Amino acid sequence: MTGFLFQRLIQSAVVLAVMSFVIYWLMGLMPGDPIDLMISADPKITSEDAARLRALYGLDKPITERYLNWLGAAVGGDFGFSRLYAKPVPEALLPALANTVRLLGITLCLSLLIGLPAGMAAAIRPYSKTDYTINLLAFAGISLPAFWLALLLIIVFSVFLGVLPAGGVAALGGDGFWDQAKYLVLPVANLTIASVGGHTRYMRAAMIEALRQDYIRTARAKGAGPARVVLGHALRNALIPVVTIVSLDFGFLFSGALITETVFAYPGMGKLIFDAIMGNDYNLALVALLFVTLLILIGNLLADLAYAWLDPRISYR
Amino acid sequence: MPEVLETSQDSAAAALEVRQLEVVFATDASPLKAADKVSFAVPAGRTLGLVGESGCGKSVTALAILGLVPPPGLITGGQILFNGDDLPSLPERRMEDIRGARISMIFQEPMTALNPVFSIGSQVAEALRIHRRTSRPEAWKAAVEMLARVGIADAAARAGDYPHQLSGGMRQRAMIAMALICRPEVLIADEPTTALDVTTQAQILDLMMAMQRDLGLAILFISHDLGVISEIADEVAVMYAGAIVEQAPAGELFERPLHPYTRGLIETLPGAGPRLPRLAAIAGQVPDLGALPRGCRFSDRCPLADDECGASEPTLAAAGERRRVACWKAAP
Repeated sequence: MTGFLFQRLIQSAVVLAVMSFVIYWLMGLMPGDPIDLMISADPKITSEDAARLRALYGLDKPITERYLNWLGAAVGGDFGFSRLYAKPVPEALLPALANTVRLLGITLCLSLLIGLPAGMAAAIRPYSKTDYTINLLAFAGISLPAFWLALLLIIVFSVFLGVLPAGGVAALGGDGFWDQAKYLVLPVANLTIASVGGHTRYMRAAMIEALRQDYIRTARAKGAGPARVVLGHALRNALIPVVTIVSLDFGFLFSGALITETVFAYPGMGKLIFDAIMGNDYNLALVALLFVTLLILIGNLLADLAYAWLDPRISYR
Repeated sequence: MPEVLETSQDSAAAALEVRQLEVVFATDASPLKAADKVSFAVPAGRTLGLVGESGCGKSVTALAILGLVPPPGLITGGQILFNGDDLPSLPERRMEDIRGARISMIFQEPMTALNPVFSIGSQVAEALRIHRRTSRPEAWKAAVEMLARVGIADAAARAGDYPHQLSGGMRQRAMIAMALICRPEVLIADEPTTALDVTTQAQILDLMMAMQRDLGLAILFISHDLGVISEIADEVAVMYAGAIVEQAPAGELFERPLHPYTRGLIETLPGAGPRLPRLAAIAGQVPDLGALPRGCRFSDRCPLADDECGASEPTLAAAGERRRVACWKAAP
């Protein structure tokens, strides 16, 4: 097990190193650079000034050399300065990360708390009225475009009813728990409605598959009641495929939800990455994307560990 | 010939008696009768072998006894008498109390029939904990004892193993331990040795017979393999396309089969019986249950069939003292 963990950590480090170069290189391919933005903002800058600025920031050097310079600094803990936020990169990143973890953490918990039991309920009697109702709702959630639903929620709850704020994270001076919580309601509802259908469908499929197995017949033959059959024998087997989906959500949890964050003016990771790329903020975009990569790798590792915990047939050496 | 409702044994001594059982699968086309007026009795301490080709309705009959026929199958007629109760008419909760405690079942493929994510010890202990008030450690101890009793060496250590860590024979032993830990009166064994190699097969049969002696078990032993049946069964019922076509004490059946289908089956045993020309019919297939031939259900494959066989269906009738056969051509 320790051998496996060690091997996976090395693999992850290699993936991260390769990804850092790929992201760096892709951003170098983007049209324009930070100096172009400065020029468009200040017409008095001459092309000689621009060339001097490029040389000053090292932007005139070949991409591999720039990458190695960046890598050396990053390994030493210096992630650079965010042009857009006028702060060191970690200081720009952390508040957005905290917002996103709060928003998507609550969403993921809610979605699993609703979706997994709903999927199980649907699977116990496939093609029954309960199943059809749950499926209909799940497909409705999957099919509704997030931006449209977000607008609808704002119109109903903020404009017509006026009970919830339309966007933002907090009012000035509103530091109490409930003051902030009410800003989360609409974005959380929007994202939960979008993701709960998927979780329901995955749980339903996995549960139907598990309930079809011979060992379920064995469990019933030894006198197990319905609750024991479903929760004791089928669920543990059905959770194995569901864990895959949830571990993929783990990466999504930190990468943000651009559309929802934009509509609700919620300063999270999705919006941060988007703005950083649009604003040619190389340092911020690079670190944010790499951070998301790292968390996806961690999510996959957690999934592998969860498999071994759930299924004794899987063991790692 | 009068239709025989009573089975050849005294029904009072029977641990389990099935009378005129009908199981129907509702399909889009036409309802399929997977078990058609099936009657037999299994006395305590004895073994009834239920033999027939794949798809003849053996397993459905077994599952019907425990009330586990998968949908869209439905018991549409007959009785299953156990301990004075008619099992199909019992509520589900009472069936749960009977399953695994008083009537147990073991299955063909112990790899898929055991839950892969639980140790065999916990699966055996679970059977006990469902039916008896037992603490976890006590149940585990009883499970280890039971595993030792069914011949698993070093049971205390093996009990923590998962099904995939055991051989096929060991898994089937674990299944037997699970089925017998509550000391049931009836054991239904659905092809329990089919997935095993021949030496392991013999060991499992020996184990089942030993457990039968110890517990006075009535065993309903289902197999397509007449060789296995001949080793373990006291009495044999031959099933064809959903109905029992012949029933007799094992010795008499193998010595003097009355039904042409039974004869065909015995002929296919390697080295058995006098060298009669092999029945061509046995090379055919069990007919589609939705499209049984008119008259006798075996008539389209039977070498002896004539107009009478195609006109009306023979009923299962007494043929000698303890035998029954459903054939117009069977010599009494």
